[in-house]
Amino acid sequence: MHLETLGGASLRIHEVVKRFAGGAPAVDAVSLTVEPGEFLTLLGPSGSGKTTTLNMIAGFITPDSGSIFLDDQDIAELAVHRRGIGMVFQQFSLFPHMNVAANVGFPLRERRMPKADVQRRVAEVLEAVNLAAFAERMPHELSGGQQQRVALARAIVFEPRLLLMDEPLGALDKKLREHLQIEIKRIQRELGITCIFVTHDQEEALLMSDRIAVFNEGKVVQVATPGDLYERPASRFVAEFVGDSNIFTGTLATRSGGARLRCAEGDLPVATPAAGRDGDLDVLVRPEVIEIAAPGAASACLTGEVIESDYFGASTKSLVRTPSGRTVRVRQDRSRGAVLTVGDEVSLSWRAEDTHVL
Amino acid sequence: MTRSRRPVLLGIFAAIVGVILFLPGLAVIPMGFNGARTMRFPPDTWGVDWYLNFFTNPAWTGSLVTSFAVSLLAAVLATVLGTLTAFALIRHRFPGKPIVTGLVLAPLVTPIVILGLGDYSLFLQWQLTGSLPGFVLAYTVIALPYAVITVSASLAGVERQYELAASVLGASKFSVFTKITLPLISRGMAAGFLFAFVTGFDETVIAIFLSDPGFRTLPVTMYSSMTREVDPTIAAASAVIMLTTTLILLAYVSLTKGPHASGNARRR
Repeated sequence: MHLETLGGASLRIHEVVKRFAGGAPAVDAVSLTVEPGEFLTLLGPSGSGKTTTLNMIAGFITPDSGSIFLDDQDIAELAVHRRGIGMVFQQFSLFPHMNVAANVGFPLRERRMPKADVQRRVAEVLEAVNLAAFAERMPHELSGGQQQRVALARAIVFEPRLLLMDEPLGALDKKLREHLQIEIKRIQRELGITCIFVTHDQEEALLMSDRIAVFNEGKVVQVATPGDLYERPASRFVAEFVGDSNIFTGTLATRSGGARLRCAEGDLPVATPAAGRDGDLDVLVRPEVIEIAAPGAASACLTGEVIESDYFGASTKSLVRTPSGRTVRVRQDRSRGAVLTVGDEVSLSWRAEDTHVL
Repeated sequence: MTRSRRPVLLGIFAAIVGVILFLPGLAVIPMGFNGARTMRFPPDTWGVDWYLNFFTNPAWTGSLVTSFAVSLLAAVLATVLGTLTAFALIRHRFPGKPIVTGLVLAPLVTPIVILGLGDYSLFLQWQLTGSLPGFVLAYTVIALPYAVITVSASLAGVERQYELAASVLGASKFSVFTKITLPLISRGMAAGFLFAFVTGFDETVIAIFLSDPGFRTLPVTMYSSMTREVDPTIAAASAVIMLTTTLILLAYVSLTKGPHASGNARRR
């Protein structure tokens, strides 16, 4: 691949607010900093403000207040077509009356690039997304995955320093999505382009991002690397939104000699919370840190009955109901013992340091 | 019960309806090839005199040219105004929108004789009867609904996202309109234009009100020929009108049935 690039831009969003007629703010004082070349994902449920934020960066929506700096230039007043930002949409949005080459060349022609250069550049970029043979096809003659690769080519052909992607894989099937996730990541890394990616799919966010900004109700609730986000979520919302979770709510019974949480399910071993964190606590126990043993094991934290067991090949996800009526999610790797069957009595245990106090 | 089991009956029924609908129209073609000055079907003798007369007699050629000019100008005007109206109705919210929609579409349901009478009394005052501007104005009004409907339909099918994509990729507003929006609605505009043209080309009622001896469209010339001297030129004229409108409507059908007729309707 011989794509050249100017490197990525930095982006700084400061206290941006957008309120649509009437209701609560769609975006409520959002601040974000994106480093040059970084892959930042805006993750959140629908209506959380992530797409509105992206549209304000693109310029489709004007913020009510706050500022957006692209490489230290305030772009709030800059017309959309002068921002020099590449963008890929969920519905591909290839111009239906232009063939693939004309679609990809569109941003270059708008920039008055000489015809010969446009042709050469379009050929290069189509090569990079493995679609060189499709230059003369019309969009409706392509599969969804091919259309989205054309859309990606069109978004990077003019060497933008910032690439925005609005749920670009949402309309594709799982297999294709996984393939394109890797493809997009590869191209982004090779170009060194700064990328802001919107998705509501937490697995996709964990896989692709350098950092993830989690949105909820118009606010950014946490910005962290995928590892930090999964292992050390800042709030109950993040813990539940990213990955499967069990959250126990109770009061801290003892702190010395291994902290224990007193809750409806019993006294549970938990990580020692930071000093000063007393009183009511939420503690996160991920399904995969839970060990399953025969009932009566000495180390048992909880006991219960398997009420559901879903086989996923490499792992099995089960639900265990405790005598207190709580349903606990458990994930068991195939290498770790026999597959559970519904009705089995089991005991559950975990190491206190594998839990996370929210 | 009948449809799946008796397609033959349905076919026969359709054929009968077709014959009843089309035969009177088709009959005028041989009637024009009459060798004598009689309106008779089928003719006793054959000849091309009446077709020749139609294309050489200044009274006929004059009104043919007038009809073309009037319909063409009205169609252009209706298409431009209809496109602008469609943008207002599809893309914008404004107070009184239902009223505007109703007014624009009103000529579709207003009895044409009422429109003709209204045009006549107004245009008398404005001294527009028997003139090109008068006809163009009157025909633009009755053609406008067709242009608005066809362009609105194609504009509603143009996803905003195409325009947003074009603008973020570097296209100015003017560029977005000329390179994205306009090409995507061009079929709708062409269809609206053809409909508008045909509407004017075979319009008779308003024409009778607005014509005077010095300025008349083809249907009026046919009508007066029919009331004064019955000669088979009128059959030739009918055949020409029928052929013209049929060709135009075939063009319209091929436009709307084309490979990507409504641009994006096929995209999920």
